[in-house]
Parts: sequence; structure tokens; C-alpha cells
Amino acid sequence: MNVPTLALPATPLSAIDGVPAACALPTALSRRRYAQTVALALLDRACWATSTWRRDLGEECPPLLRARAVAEDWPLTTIDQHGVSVTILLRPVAFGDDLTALVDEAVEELPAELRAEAGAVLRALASGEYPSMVADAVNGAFGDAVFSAGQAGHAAKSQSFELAIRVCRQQAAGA
Amino acid sequence: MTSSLIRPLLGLLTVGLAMTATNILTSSRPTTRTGTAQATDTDPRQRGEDYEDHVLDDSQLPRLVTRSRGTLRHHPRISPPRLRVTARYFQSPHGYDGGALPDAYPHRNAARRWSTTVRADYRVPDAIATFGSHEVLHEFKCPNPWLVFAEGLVWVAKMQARFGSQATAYFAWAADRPESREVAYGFCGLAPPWARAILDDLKLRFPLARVQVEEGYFAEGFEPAARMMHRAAREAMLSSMEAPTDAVDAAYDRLKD
Repeated sequence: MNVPTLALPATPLSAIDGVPAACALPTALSRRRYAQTVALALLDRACWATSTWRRDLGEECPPLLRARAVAEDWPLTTIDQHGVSVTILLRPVAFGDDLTALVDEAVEELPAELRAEAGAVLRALASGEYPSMVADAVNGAFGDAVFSAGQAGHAAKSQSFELAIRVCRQQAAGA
Repeated sequence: MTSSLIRPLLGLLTVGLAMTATNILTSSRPTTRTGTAQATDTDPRQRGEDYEDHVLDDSQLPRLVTRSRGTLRHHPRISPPRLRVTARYFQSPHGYDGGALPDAYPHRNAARRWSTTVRADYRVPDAIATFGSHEVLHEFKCPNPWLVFAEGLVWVAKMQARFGSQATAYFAWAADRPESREVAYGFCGLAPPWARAILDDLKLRFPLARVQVEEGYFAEGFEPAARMMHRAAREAMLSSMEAPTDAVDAAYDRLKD
């Protein structure tokens, strides 16, 4: 599956180049969500939870959830091949109890010379503020992490679909 | 009880879709064709072209393809296998939530068959992304998902014949080399029931074709999509009175803004 998408929920495309412009993170919630996404990406952890529906078996993503997914920019994809049709939704994981602790842990993954500034930027975002200045190096590190996480989200969608095909084939073989 | 059901939908409102009290309280009714232009402020064809321009802007899909080490061709010519399939038309008498029903009596002038090629032996999709030997054909659509229409209408036959014959060509193109080709339909918002029904029907006839449908594809920053989502939010909120809480994922609203 090679369709290019940034497979991350509620993440502006501009995040692949670093901290998005203030207008792309207009609310405190969106800034916290972005901080969590970057932190989880730096820690190589998923910031999404995958849900799947087998459309070929009559399962459909509920209309309300579908509307919310599109409104809030959660990746919503339907993949079809070999008679198997799967709708896959990547929803954001719920916020943890301590976003600041997560940020502190994530910053340790960065090169030592970036930690202080990157930590300050992420902590500002995690508290709902928009940082006043972000160095190019920090933007680059965040952008790379988000892009890699987007590719991992993309792979998760592919794996969900491949799993559905395998189950379908096993069921056909067992029938 | 009611407030606990509505609260999850407040998440919908956080995407910058400012809703007035009037909008929230306005009763929800299906959109007729006439109402479409009023709902989106642009005619459907222009909206589709604007959406295509938006996705193909250098900062959008081309940026992502380049970052993914691929190349993107805008409006390339492809030569799909020449074939025809029996046309299947659909009606949508109850709007988005009612889904699509087969149109048992399409207009008498409706094409009986959809051909992969029309007038020329080539087609021009919106874009093709290439990653090594793998090609992804992109087609971008921005129709109104709430369009309501009965069976037997001539404009419906024309609209669906255009969409269906184009999709037939793309599915045939992908099925011709299934190991290295796929088709991606990107909808600016929700995919309308009639379009999903046509694509679903064609998938059965081209089972080898790998097809991906993305909803809300590059919708960020595209104003007509935002207006449509405004309406989606409003309709979701109005219908939430009877919705189970888990249908809208209340768990994701834990952190108050």
C-alpha cells in the first residue's frame, strides 16, 4: 500500500517540517495533542489506536464516528482487494495522566545539544501554549519524528488490511 | 443523560468550525440539488476543480510524495484496457444516512454500459505517484454527501455515468498490473453513498484491483470541506440525541480544552 498520507490522527501535514504554524494549532487542545504526538513519535510509540470494520461482512463504521473522524482529521481509509473490503480508522490515543512526564521522557531521545530547547518547546505546547521561537534544528528533529510516525501509521493500516485478507483466506480454506 | 450524550460531540466543535446557536437549532433536512450550491457557495464542478488544485498545490500531496521519495505526475495520460461493463445506477432518496439504493428504472437515455475509454483511447486521472516500480493513481472528488435524489432522473444518470465509466477505466488499469498499481480516491469530506455504491459494485467486477478510498483527504485548509464538515458536525449533534455514547468515542474527550 503506497498511497501517500500522513497517517496520524489530528496532525496537520505541515508537522512533517516541524512545529506547525499557530493557525494550524488553534486551540490548547490541538497544541497538547501535537505535543503528545511528537513525544510518542520520539519514543517510537503509536499515538493512534486502530479500529477496523469488515465492509464485505456487512460491518460499517458508524455514521457519527465517520463524521467525527473526517471533521477532526483522523485517517479514515477503506481498502479493497481480493474481495476483502476493510475500513480502517486511526483514532488518537487518549491523553495520559501526565503529559509533562511523557515529554520529559521523550526529550531524552534527542541529541544532547537539542534537549534543552526541544524540551522547552514541547513543554510549552504540552501546557497549551504556543512557543515563541523554535530553532531550525528542533523543527527538523520534530518533523523527522512525525514523518516516521506517519509512515508507521501507514504501515499499521496495511497490516490491518493484510490481517483481514489472511483471516478471509483461512476461513475460505476451512469452509 | 442528554448532556452526557452530546458532550462527546463537543470535540467536533474544536476543529475551528464555529457554530452559531441558530445553526445548532436549525432543523436538519436533506439537501436537494438546488440546495447544494447554497450549502457550499460554489457550484459542484468548480468545487471539484478547486479541490484538485488544493491537493495538487506544492505544499500538499506533492510535498508528501517528495518527502516519501516518490515522484508525482499531474494529469498524466493512461491507456486502460478497452472494455465495457454493465452500468448500475443508484438513487439516494433519504440523503447521507439513508444510503444508496439501486435505481431500478434509470432514465431511458442513461448509458446501458460504461466504457473504459470514451472518444479517445486514453484517460487523464488527476495524478499518478510513482515509488520505484509502484504506481498510485489519484482521483480527487469533492461531491456533496447529502445530495438527495430519486430514481430515473436524467442528471443523475449523466453524473453517475461520468463517475462510473471513469472508475471503470481506473479499476481496469489497476487490475491489469495488480502487483504494481493501485487506485486512490480522495474525497474532500465524506464519500456520498451513491459514489461508494458504484465503487463497491465495480470492486466486485475487478477483484484484483487494489483500491483505496480516503475520506477527508487533504481537507485541512480547504474551505468548502470545512463548510461541509460544519454541516457534518451539526447533523451529528442533532442526531446525537439518540446515539449511544460509545458511537462517538467519548474516551477521547477526557482532556478538556
